[in-house]
Amino acid sequence: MIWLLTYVGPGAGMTVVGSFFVLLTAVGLLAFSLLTLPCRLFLIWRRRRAAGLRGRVPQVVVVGLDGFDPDRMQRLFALGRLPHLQRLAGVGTCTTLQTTLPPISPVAWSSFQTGVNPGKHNIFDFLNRDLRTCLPELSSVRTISADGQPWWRRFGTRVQMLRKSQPFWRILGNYGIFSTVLRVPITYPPEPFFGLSLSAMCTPDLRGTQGTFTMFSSDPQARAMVTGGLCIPIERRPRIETWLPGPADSRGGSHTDLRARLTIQIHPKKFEVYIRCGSESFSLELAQSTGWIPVTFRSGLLRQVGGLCQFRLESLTPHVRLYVSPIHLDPERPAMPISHPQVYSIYLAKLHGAFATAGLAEDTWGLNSGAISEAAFLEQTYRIHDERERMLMDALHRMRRGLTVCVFDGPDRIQHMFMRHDDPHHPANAGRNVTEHADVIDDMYDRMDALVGRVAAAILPDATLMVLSDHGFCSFRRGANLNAWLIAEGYLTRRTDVAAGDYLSDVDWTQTRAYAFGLSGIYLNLQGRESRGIVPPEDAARLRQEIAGKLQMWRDPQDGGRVVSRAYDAHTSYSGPYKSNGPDVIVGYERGYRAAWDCAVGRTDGAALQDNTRLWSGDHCVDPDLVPGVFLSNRVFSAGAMSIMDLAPTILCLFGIKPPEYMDGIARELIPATQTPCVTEPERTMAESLA
Amino acid sequence: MSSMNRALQLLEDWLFGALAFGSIWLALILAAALVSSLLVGVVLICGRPQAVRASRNRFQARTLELLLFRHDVRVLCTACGRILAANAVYISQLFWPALVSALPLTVLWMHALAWFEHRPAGQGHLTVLELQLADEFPVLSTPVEVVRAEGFDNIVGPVRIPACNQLCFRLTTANVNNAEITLRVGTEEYRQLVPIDERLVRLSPVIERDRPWLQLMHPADRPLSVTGPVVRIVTHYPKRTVFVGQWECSASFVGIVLTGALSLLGARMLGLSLF
Repeated sequence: MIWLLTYVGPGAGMTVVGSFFVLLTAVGLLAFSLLTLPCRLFLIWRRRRAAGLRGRVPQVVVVGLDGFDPDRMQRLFALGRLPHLQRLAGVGTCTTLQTTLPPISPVAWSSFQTGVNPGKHNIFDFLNRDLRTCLPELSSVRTISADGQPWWRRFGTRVQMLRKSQPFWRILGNYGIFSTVLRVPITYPPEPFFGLSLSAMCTPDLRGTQGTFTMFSSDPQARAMVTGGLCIPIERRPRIETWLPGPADSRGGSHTDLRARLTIQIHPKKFEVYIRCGSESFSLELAQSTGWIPVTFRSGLLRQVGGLCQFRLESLTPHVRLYVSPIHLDPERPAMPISHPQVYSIYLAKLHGAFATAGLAEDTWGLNSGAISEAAFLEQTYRIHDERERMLMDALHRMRRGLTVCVFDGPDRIQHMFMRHDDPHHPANAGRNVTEHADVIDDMYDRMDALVGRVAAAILPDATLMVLSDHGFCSFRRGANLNAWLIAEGYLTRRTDVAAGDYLSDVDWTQTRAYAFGLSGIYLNLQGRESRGIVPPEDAARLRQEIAGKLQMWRDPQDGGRVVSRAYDAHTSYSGPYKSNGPDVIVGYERGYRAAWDCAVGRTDGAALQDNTRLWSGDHCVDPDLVPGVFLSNRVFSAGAMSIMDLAPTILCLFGIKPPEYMDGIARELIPATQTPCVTEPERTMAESLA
Repeated sequence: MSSMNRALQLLEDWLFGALAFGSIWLALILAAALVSSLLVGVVLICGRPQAVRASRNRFQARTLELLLFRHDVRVLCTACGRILAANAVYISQLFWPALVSALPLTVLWMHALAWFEHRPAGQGHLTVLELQLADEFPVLSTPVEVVRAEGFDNIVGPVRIPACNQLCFRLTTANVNNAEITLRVGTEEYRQLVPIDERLVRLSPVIERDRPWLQLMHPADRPLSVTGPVVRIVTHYPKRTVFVGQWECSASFVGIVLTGALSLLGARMLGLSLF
């Protein structure tokens, strides 16, 4: 036994004792849960009985495929591909799904979860502007810092959800129906309800941004190209000592951010490096990525924050180029809550291993700025996709009743970055390889089809499966700088004494009647709303109409085609208490056009129309009628074009709950399987819908 | 005596014999280093920290399930089994290197204990010699005589203990290096060497009949014949103690502590962890 004592003594013994403590806790928890179970079941039963609840389905599973395009799906159907989706279309429902105005993910998924239009849920774009400063802020989240508060009120930084209304799973929870909600956009910060949720879009990385990668490069030219990330210059030596920047250091001091030591040791003969980052060490071959590597940033004697990142060696000779992904919050020890309840992310991490937690987990900026290759981006995207599939399968395995929702972002990200391969005349193809990844998007659709097949096989026969996308996709060839157009039309005036810059810094507010910001539209410089507003409220309606009319007349000098398919007056398009928070005129571009990169960050200089030469070559910020989503189900729903807002009331009805009056969506009736299945319907246009 | 025993004896006699005139501490450190290097080697080869970590995480996740799915009767009813199964997997993963190293480390420790567990009888000390007879040889009717005795001032016995079927001799050692007594029990002769020394020597407090496992447990001397009347000879040597500051403790305990410390040090140097 002596060897055993020696083995146990140093640490294993404590671990064994610890495991018995966990066992003891588990037994206690089990006993408590079993003892209180009858009471809890009785309460749920009473609540359901009082509401007269008579659900028609025991389980609803919703698989969200962000950006899954119905046109491409039909084309692949015709080629005999996507067999599982075809089967769904054959036995159940397959129809286009009217998206939101504007057709972008945060808006569309907010409407999906609340069943209301943006005027009621208050999400109009990725970004909103601070009305006093015109600086950008996330549309769905506001961080309220505890700095400057008296010590007794310094409970830490608070994160406030700006999405209004309530998700339908909260209503389900009120009736005792349990939900698992995985990575549905605009669920950060997590809200309490009867169920589990893992936050998605707008969840920050450890630096508090929406995804900032780090590039270590010895090449001065590569350093100049990096945008959207940090570039740390290094010198190519056998042993490189540097540091990985982390979150901001709240203590102040010589550095503005916390740092982790990073040592890169170049193997003299092989094409690989040996990396030591904090307490982790590993070797990395050329053009290879690591899994999730934990990194710890110490901010004091007993204070530290942990994150996860992936390393990839992009180049070794003549220059070293090491890419480090955005540092995601570690789900096993999250620096801020990313799930409800908080232990859910810990549970998932313990069960399936580390996983991506940042809202925009796939590093599109890394690829866009050339920090990683297309192959690396694909690898990263599919890894994240696999992580999410594991979570979904676990949720399906655990839950045989209630609601399960999981959104997969892969289709959206891949179409954004690889659409140029589908469009031979895309400006981004100039000087770039167009053959290597020519079939990536179609292959991705096959993968999604296989995923749907696995989900369909995993659920019980009486479960309802819904597959939907929030919008379709099209090419993004030309960027429209609305601010430049507004200058040309005389609505916006620039200051001559200030150099052009981001965030409308050179706008002469005393003479500006309208300005553009973000992806979706134009704001009026309204008196009483904007801090330096000049447009009287009584002129606003006329001005909106005037701008909308002129936008629809805008022609591209390159080919004479229309730039804008339809411009929408937000005040007639939306209803609800928050409709004045969004843009006043929403621009529905023609296919191939979108807000220019400069326009999105509020720049006023440059041409009104410019070629998009970036790898981000596909988009969906166009007229909603041009990019509808798709809806498939294994059940037959009543005929008629569906809107993404219809999903929430429809699912509530499936569980026997009457949808609240405020919901804009229409509950679709479930038709018994003996009746004729629903056929594909032409989509209801946004214009018809508004009428 | 097995060839493995013989080989190990040669190795340890060479290692510790060289230090017999030196400090007991040096010998202890050497023995601890030998055992800990073997332990670290086994963990290095057989240890699966990733698997241990994964099984630990799975076990903890199973416990968290109770918290997350406490509304679900199905989960509650099956939770106990799943948690216990996950815990069993975890513990077995954790102790896999210990299981693998059990046999070689036992053998090595037994040889080391022969050197460190006891010290020889001093001059004029009293030593008790116990002979355990087989059941078919009753202690009262089996003839016993001392054939030869050298290096003892006084020999008392045999004392016959029928309840235990044992014979005992009380031996008082004289001022010589090695005392030796030869006994005839029935028709068989048994020779027992009793070292009288202050230095580090290999001792065999227990000698048993020739069985493979017992040979490993008591490796210092040639085993007893399986046909003879005596099944075990026990010599009561004093325990070897060392002083750690003012604290007197057994040398084997210090050896365990040293082995643990050196194992941790080695693991740290090699970046090795159990999980």
